[in-house]
Amino acid sequence: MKTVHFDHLTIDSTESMLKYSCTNSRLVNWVLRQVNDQPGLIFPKRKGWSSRLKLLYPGDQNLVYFNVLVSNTTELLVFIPINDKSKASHLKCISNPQQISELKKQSCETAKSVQVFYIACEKNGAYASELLQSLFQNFNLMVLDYEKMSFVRGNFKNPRLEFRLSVQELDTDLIPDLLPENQQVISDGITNSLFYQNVLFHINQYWLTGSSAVHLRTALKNSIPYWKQYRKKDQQVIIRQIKEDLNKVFIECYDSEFSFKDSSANSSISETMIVFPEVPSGRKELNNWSRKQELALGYFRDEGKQISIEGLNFAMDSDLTGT
Amino acid sequence: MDFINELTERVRQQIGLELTSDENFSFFQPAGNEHMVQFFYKNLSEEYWDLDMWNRHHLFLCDLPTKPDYEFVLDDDGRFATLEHSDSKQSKEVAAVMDLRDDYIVVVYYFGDSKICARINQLLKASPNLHACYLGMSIFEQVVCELEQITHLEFDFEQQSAMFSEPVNLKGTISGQPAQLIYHQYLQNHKPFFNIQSISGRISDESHGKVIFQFDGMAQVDDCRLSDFMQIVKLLFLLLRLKYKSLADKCILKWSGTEEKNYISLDGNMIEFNLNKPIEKLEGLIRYLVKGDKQLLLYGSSERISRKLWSVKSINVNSKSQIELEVSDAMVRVYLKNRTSIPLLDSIEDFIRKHIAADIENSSF
Repeated sequence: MKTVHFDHLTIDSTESMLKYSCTNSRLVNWVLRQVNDQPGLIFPKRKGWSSRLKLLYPGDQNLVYFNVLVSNTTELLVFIPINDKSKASHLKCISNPQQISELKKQSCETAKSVQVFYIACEKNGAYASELLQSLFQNFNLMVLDYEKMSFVRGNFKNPRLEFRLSVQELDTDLIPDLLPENQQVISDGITNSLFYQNVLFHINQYWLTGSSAVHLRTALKNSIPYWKQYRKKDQQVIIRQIKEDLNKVFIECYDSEFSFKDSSANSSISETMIVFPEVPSGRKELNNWSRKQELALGYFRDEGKQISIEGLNFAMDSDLTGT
Repeated sequence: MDFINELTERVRQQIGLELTSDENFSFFQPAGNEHMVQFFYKNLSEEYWDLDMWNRHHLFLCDLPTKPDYEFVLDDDGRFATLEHSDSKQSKEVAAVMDLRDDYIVVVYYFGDSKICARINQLLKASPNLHACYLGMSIFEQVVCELEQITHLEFDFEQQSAMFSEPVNLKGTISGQPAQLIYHQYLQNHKPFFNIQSISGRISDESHGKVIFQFDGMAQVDDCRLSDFMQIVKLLFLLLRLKYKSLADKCILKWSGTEEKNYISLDGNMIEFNLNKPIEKLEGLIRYLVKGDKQLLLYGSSERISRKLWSVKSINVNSKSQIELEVSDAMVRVYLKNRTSIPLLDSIEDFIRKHIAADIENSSF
């Protein structure tokens, strides 16, 4: 057993293996990836499977839950990712029979079978299991580790799904990043810089296609697919936070050539706009902008609130191999 | 009447050919015997698709880059356009029919002096609304079956030291008898490095005319029956249409709200190119995808997603189209956000086949 110390946390590992850890978005990405027609996936679209995503606020706090519904005409599967911030009261609220029956009514009324699956990463698996045991006698819990998603409790009622899951070869590191991270729960440099890479990419789209300015809200709406599902007050908080973050990099990395201005869309609402400089005219200028963006992303990476598990793994591997 | 038969009829009409003269192999005398077909992907932005067919095609032709001495003029029914010259002498040297009927592929049929045809074609290639279709290896393998014998072969593969510690090069031009043998041998023994750029051969009609296929969607023949050449055109059209229709219909990734508006759903497939041999220096590939390499002209940013995967979001300096990718040492995943990103996908596939692995597998459609 080896113990590695970082500033803010201590991790025990057996040789080089750490328990797999990831964000809830990544768990959602695993589910979304399964609904497609490529070989080896669990819910083939050609067999009528489709997926839907919803945000749930099961309490007064800002903790948001992703809720992924996977269904065909006869089955409805509800996937709820949980992590170490999840509380019994939240899960009770999300999973109450009335809520589930409402989901069925809204999304798949013809479903004869409805199953709820809680999903967690390996690191949070034990916590999730304890939490669920305190609430339910029977539940389905799936845990994602480095190589597979598997049931630690329960199963798919449909044996075909059970079979496809059991034979699935998975490299967790290659799960596609289909759903952008929820800005409210970003906790490390990697997810932070990935989030802003996506935001800047969409801002660039407006700039490079000739717009002189864009509402920050519009840019965010396009870069975060579930933007409309945030509560209004949360949208305001997110806009404020992102404006603050971007303002720093606009000044420090973009030499203030990008800037913010408040415009009144009507008499009562003031909207923040990003004002763009001239569109770069050639490769050299684009290269300069590319460098500035690189600096900005580096800033977001380093400003991450704590080191990610991937970062930990790299550090751990190096430490163990003595490099 | 099938799609290509209608095009054939329009070509006959334009040349002034009688049905019987189809048996004449050199049917476009005296200006020259060259017949060239260029396949383009219809790379139109959203505004065009809001218009009715005639207006869409009219606007499309207005937006083509032209020279003062000729222009493409739309037929009254808006389905085809033909080349018109201000100089009547030139109209005897070259003529062209542009088939605009399909939503995905524009077929341009040229006949006459091959140099002039190529010059006009080059100008069309510069249009942002037209993207020269990319013939991958699988399409080459299918069209080769139409040839009686391969007589000329050009291949080009060059790994970069930025990505591989021991780069492999396999490029060359082979003409004459050995071309047929080399094609089959290389396909069998060197497939990971065998990237065809152009292939020529005799077609199996009595004329023994020579047909040339190029990787950028061009087919040319010097002497044959119109109907025989059109059989080849038909095969290429069907293969390319299937490819671009699948990309446009199935591979545009889009989040949309459902009826209840409380839910969002993701439509479309990502495209995955699996590399049979891993890239040794992944950072080298990422540099090509974000630093404005001359071939790709992509500028953007890269961020690490996991231990093996990087996210790349880039823009093409010319078209301003954007593309998102995820790359690992053994896979390149492409996310298309709209139809106008499809040409970038072709550039990336061409880059991979030319510089990383010629035998990539695409498991997406």
